[in-house]
Amino acid sequence: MKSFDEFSRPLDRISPMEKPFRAVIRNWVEEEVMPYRREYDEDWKEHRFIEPAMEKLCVGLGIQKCLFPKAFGGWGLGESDSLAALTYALCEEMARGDSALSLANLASLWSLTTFLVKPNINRRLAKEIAPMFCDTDKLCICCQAMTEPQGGADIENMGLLKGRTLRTTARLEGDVWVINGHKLWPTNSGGTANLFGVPCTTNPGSSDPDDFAYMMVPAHFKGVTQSEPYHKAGMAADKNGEIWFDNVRVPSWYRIHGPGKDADVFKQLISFGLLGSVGFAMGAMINVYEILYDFVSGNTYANKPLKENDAIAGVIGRIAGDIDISRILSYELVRMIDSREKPFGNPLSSEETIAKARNIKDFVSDRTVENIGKAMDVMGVYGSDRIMDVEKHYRDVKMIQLWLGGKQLCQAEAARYFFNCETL
Amino acid sequence: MMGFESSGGHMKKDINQLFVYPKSWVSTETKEIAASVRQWANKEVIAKRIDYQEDYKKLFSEARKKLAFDIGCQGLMLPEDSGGFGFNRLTDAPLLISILKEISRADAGIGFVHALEYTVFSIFAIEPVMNPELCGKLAPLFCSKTLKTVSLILPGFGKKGIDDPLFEGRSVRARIQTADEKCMLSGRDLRPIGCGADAALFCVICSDANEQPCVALVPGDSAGITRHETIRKTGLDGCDNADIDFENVQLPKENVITRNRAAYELYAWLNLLLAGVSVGACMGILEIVSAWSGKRIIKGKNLLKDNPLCAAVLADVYEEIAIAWLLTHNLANSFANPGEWGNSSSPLIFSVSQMLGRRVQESAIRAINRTMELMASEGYATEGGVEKMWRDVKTIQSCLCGPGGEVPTKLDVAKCIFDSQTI
Repeated sequence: MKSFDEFSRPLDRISPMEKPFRAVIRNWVEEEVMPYRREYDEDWKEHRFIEPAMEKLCVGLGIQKCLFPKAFGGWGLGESDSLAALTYALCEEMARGDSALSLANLASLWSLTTFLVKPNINRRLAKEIAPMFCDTDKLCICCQAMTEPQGGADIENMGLLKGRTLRTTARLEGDVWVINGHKLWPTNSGGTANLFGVPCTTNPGSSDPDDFAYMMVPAHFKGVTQSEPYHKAGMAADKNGEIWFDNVRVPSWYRIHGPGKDADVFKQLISFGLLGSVGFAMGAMINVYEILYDFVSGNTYANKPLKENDAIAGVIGRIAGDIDISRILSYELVRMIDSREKPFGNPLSSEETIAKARNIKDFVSDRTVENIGKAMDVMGVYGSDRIMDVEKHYRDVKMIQLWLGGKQLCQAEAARYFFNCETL
Repeated sequence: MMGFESSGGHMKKDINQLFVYPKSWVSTETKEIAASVRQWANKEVIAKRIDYQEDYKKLFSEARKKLAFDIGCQGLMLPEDSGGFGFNRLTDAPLLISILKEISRADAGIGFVHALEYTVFSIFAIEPVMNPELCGKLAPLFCSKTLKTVSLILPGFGKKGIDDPLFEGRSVRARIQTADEKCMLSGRDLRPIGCGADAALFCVICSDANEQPCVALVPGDSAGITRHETIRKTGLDGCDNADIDFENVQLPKENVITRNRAAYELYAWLNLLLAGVSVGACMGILEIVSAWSGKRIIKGKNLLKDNPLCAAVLADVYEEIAIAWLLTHNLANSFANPGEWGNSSSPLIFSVSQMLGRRVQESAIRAINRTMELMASEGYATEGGVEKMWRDVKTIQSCLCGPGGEVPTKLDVAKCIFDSQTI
């Protein structure tokens, strides 16, 4: 194999936009990320190195406006048939440099998909919000504020709990929603976000989908407070903290759709989140492959290059094989999402799509954690060196395995779907 | 059913009662000493976990001092007539791992430092290979009231295009030349197993003029030593490591141990002692996840540990630790009874130590990984106390991996058990 581009992809179905798109992002990674990424861990609070890279991508290259309709100054990607393919390519290319940067970017777009992606485009809200992202030379970040102190997996577990555990409330007073609640851990919090996407309930304790509401809340509105970021094991470019909403008043049209539809669109969000997750995992694995390739070619055991020892070849062959299989699965997820409005496709909120998407994410993230750990082992005492750039991926990708409900929710939803479980 | 009754990480029940293993392997004296170390752990580290994490370098050093001098862990393994505590018999192997477990329950970094120390001491201070001359010379360094570290340099990776002398396939890049009563040690860009940046003593497996392995003990203040920049790494934050050059470092002849298979002993002891460290880290993990799962609610109303899927994961965590515990004590018991299986230099113990050491590290990593899967963001955040142990144990596992990871160990086993040749 000549380069990592030759890991399997469905070449018969690749969008013609993907190649030039990848080239632009790859160039950004080489110029703006690779030279500085070893400083990212210590930069977790200030983002002195991280923010310039985000700005070049989001503002300079225009990624922050990509989902908005062209009529409002965006790229119109929300109306594209290749949204998932290009999103995946974006995530993978960025994560090859740094998966947390990739996450921060994708998570900013993630919340916006609730009202910018067909067939759920809310043109009134899009027009209202567009200037923040499109008519500016400043970085604008969105945060999907889902998790609450009592748990995040439960909120996501729409299949079983249907939003019953949500404690963040929305109360309609005339033409205004009044939001109260406490969120923690979302990506792009800790003082970063300019705009929040907030799952909440209009009737605490209810499992009626009509009572689930999703609100867009500008961060500068009165009553919104953000904490300092938490310190974590990795993922430094992703700031996570707490957010308090204290009688925050937003116009009624800041609810993305309405009763019933909000819950349905929120379930679709999960599929996009899972797509991003496999993209980040794949990007990290591909970079580890590049590094490992050089390492096993230049270092020896028994005075022969590591890769020429049969037993070591068995280990690294398995690593590369798992990367290839994971990529095939990732593109299957791309296909599932991009075919959502096709006759042969399924809605993103369908039980089938969510269960299969979770399955793919669970499988790919497990292989990623396992294989990057193995790559560190192959590199022996050098495996844990910051300067080799593998251990950083190891610390970052663990978070991919943990989020969006983690392993246990993925397993439960797979069981529910494939075995028609009734009481899980 | 015995359960955890933890409060701020302390357990009212002895964690040693939760793991089934032959208690006859651990003496009463061992239990008493381990209990002292546990008190240190509870008071000096676990009780002030948040402060400890925030001002780590400073508090790491302070906690180490109390352990090293008030409890006596720094001179523990050195002979009494050299100023140590005299726990230098093979039958003390279970004691050493018991202590390392208790230390590492609080901080695997401190456990690691002591594990390296005891590994190096094993080569000259432990009966029946105890060398009175070397003990007399080197023991005062470690029996003073100053914190000291040791560093171990093992054979490892070679570079393409260079044919090195080999130790069981691993490149030996340090060379020793002997002339009269003096030896000269050379080697560039050597990577130690930990603490290279400030070691008071290096223990180096090197090759002699006949390309045979021998072990050099090099005082850290010897002329001709260059320490490169401190290495940033995944874990073991308090243990500063650096690549080392030895440029014609002069050593007295008695500092070079040439007895048959001395190098093999180092591997055996290192694997045993680092197994103790990682099992100790897992003990800390078990306490944390037990306390957490006893309070966490899922699905709006149920305790997490009462959910069958989550309970199964908790059981996995325990199982991995229980197996690692048993393997570690089994190995220590074999060291304590060399008449049964051979001593630490025997081909069988050399191979089996590495095999069991590798398996213990894998179990430890699996236990911590599964814990993090359950705890999710709380497991990942610094203040949860789990992620540091995860990073530390992974770094330890990396240290023990040879060129190509698990492969050198597997080939050593194949050679010993199946008489594989030419591998």
